[in-house]
Amino acid sequence: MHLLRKIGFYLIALWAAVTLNFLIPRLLPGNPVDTLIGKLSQQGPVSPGLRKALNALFGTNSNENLWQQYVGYLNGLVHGNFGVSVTYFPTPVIDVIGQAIPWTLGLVGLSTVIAALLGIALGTFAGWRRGTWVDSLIPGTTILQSVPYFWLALILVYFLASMLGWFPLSGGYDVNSTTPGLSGDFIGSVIRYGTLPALTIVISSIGGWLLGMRNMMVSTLSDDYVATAEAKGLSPIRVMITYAARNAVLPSITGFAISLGFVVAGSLVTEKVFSYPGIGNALLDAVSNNDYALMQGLFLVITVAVLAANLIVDIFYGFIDPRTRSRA
Amino acid sequence: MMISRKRGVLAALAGAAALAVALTGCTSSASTTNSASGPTLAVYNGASGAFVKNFNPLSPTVLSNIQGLIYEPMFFYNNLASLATKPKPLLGQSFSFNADGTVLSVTLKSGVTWSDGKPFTASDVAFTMNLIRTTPALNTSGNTPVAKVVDPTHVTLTFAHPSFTSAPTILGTTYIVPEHIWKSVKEPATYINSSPVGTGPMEMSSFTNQSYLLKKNPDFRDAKKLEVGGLRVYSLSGNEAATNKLLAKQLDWAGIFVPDVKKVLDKPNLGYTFYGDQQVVLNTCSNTALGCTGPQTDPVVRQAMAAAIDRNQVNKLAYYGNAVPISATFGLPKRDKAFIAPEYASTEPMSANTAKAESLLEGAGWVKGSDGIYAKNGQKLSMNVLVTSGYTDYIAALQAITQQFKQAGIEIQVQQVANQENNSAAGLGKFQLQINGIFQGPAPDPYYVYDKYFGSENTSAVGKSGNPYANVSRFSNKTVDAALATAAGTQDQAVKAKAYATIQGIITKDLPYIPIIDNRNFAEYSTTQVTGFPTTSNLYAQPAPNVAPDNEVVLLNLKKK
Repeated sequence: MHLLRKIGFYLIALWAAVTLNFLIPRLLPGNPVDTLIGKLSQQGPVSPGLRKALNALFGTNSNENLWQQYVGYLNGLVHGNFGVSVTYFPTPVIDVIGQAIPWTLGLVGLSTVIAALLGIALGTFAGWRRGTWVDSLIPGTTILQSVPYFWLALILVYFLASMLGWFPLSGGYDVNSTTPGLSGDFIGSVIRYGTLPALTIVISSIGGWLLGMRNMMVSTLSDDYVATAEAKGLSPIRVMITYAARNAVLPSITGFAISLGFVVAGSLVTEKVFSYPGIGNALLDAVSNNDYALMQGLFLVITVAVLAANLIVDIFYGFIDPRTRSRA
Repeated sequence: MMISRKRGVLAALAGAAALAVALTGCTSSASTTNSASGPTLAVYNGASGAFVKNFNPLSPTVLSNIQGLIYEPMFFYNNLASLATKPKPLLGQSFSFNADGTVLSVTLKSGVTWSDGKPFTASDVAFTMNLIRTTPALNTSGNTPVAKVVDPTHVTLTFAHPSFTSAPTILGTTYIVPEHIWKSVKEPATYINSSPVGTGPMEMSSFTNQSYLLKKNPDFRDAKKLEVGGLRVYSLSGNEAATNKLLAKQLDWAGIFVPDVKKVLDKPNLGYTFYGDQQVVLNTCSNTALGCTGPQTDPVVRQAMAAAIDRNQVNKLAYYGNAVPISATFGLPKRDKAFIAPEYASTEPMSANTAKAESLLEGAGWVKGSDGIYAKNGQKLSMNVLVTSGYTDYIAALQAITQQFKQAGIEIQVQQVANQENNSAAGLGKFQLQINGIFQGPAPDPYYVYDKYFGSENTSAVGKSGNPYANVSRFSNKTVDAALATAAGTQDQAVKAKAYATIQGIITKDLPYIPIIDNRNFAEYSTTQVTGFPTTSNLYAQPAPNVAPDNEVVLLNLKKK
């Protein structure tokens, strides 16, 4: 019952998201044809007939009303047809997304997991040893988090990639020497190219995890049951991890679920700074080209990912914290 | 809008970072390899995001360098030389019009082959023309001729009406595709052509979504003259990333904007060439008959604005001093010397003439108010200016101009909007002023600018969706339209010049586009592997790699170092 209600709620949320997703791009001013003409006219002369030809090509001058478009859109979604991207015409949106998503999941997903695990571990430790030198971790990491991300990223690129040459400047892998595939060469190249972007994400997001976990630890440690556990003479490690941290970590798990959903959205600025071929770059392209179909496809994937991550954690949460389902 | 703004900040910061890289020097080695057939050049065309396959030269979203390097048009028109310069033969040999400009006879080169070994003939040209004409989605010129094969090296192209001015588009930017492959293509407009067969100097070697490699076509008719072995095209996130790569000697050829290029690229083996013109103007919605409203509909106000601009200051603040004076005729003073009437030969003064602006306004009945701004019949001389957010040069220019106008008692309010919104306003005519660029046409003839930006045919009433890249000022004048028709109907340069003088007499007084400055484009290159890129003193083609078919002409001129 609890589960069904949850799923029903998520279905309604999904429908609302899908509908908004249809409406919002259509409220944007401008149209893809003029945006493309603008781009082409920067490259060379365009003739007046081009606008007519592009309208014919993209079918943008159709007389369908909004309702017909909506029905067509829902029908397409059911059949997994997101339409054709205008930016990457004539490639279907689904191919563009399929191409970009592994990169983003790999980079942003891994670095989010690393940042969260590291932050929670350090936070547990900092909460346990509160009042000692370990507390200096907190201002250190929060300063790094509050530095604007793109600035931090550019500085790291400058020192580590440009000056020291430890990391490549940009891209997802070495396009000169390898081709995508399951070869050691390619995977090694992907890891080499992904390290610096991942590092910037971890550095700039670890502070939040650390601070949240540490504060929860401090308040949990003052609870009576922790004092009891200590009085029973349990080993400090056991008290720290299975008594205090287990309860203190709950808010962080919620936060983690939400950030996992946003992993799919990519880290727009990271991908921009490092020319990383992920979803963030695709989204930026879609918005700047008024590419409705691509925007819709991307937003849909992002919304579904956020909802799915939330649903999973919602269900999972019922097991790790039975209090949340007691009323059902 | 937020994204654009962010991009602006990023650009500025990356510029700073790039500069820092420039100052400290770089140790990264060139990433390209020398093969037996010649060096492979690393190229950036300004693309961002992943590449997706589209090698269809007739598609507007075709990947860069497919046009020009794999598929070729018949002739090359050098847009930077004067109109008297003869087009250079590519697939064609020569061409001539009949007297009234309706039939174009073209002689083609013989002995040319497609990269799959089949011979290239007149029927390929005829097939391409007829394919474009009968497919509305491909007919970008709107005036594609009926083509008929005479013999394997001769073809006639018949237009519905006199079409001297269409020749550069038809001969110079229509890429010929092989009939033996394309005749079985069902949907030519959406065909991605994954294994391209062309006549050009390069052929496709490998493709991934982050880069593609073109390599020398051994069957190319001038293969012996071609010293470049291949081209590696990159996708980067934008100009900042490209500048870093250029400075690290990991790029050989690019056509991007680099802030303060003279300082940033002042390194051994790096070069840049200024070429081409983006005439920066204030578009005005000028025509009350088509629905424009506001003080800028008064020609005297427009003349006063033109006089009040301190172009030296704009050049310094927005263009690093690299821009050049602009002509109110919108002809290019050097290139179009034969077409600019002597009385309009001088370019707009680089310094402001506030006194002139004020006397113009006062002569028309404007009176300065206590706030120092003119007013007439209770209407204050105050206008809105739209600018795309993130276009840092335009924004800087407007900041300077706002102050300069204030000196002359004219008030403008700058409004930054997203590019789409700006376009939409231009197309609908829902703006008072807008900073933008005027771009030249497919041949070195001011006709294209006059037709596109001043012709009644290319405008529409306010509120109706017009082309935002055409006559957005709503300017409409019967004499100008008649002169345009005269110029279009002749190949005689003297007749053209006379028609243009008529147009210039009207537009330099009416000023529907207020000339600000001529901002030059530039392309960047590294001479580590090859030399021979166009230079300011020898502009044999537009030097940017994404301009086709200029890229073919440049490529053939490059010499191994």
